[in-house]
Amino acid sequence: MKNWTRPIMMVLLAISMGGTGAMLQVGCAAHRTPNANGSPTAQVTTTEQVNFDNAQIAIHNRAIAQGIVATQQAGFLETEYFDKLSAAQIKITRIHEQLTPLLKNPVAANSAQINDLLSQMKTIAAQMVTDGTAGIKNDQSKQSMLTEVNAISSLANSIISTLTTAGILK
Amino acid sequence: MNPLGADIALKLSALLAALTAITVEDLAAIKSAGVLGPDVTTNIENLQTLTTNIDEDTISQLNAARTAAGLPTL
Repeated sequence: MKNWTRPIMMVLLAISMGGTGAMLQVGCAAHRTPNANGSPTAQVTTTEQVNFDNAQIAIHNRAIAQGIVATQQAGFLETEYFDKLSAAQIKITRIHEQLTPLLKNPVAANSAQINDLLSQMKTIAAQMVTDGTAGIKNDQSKQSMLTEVNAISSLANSIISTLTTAGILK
Repeated sequence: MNPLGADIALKLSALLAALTAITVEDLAAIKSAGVLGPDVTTNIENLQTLTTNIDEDTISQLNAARTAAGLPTL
């Protein structure tokens, strides 16, 4: 790769990550549609909220994947880094696939497994930062990458917090 | 601008358009997913299905791109 293409690559990666970052900031608590007769709506349940947070992880993870793929296919991300980032994202997604059915009806009996899966996701997300940013010399790009990958950890923490408050996770 | 610079600029424009589309699409998905109806069971089923489908799509897209890049699928 020519020396002058590297800064462009980094800027593009930052843009791709920044775009999904803007998206994440909009992600918030779920809300119920108003009743037709104007009566008060029921509160969003714990299970609904954790499933919404869980869906946001999936949406966010896919957006990052699409951004990385688009950047790689445009020729602005070296195969070496694409290999590491995509492998880590597939790992996170496979773990997430195991987590989702456990959240359909989260119970204390599954507490250890839910905690373990969320912990694994956070560990791999941290590893993505190390592996994916290893060749990035631009601080802004590195920070953008860090922000995006940490978003998955934040949502995982939100699920843990909600289930702990509800007394399901110990 | 030399031909190589023009090529980079063209790829940059295409990529920016793609990234914008991704952001808009996924913002809409999050907004839509967060609007819940009156039936709790249905809402949870819908969120579970949405999550499962998106995860499958993510792996499919990543593996397709890995194959195109000459990398093994995972």
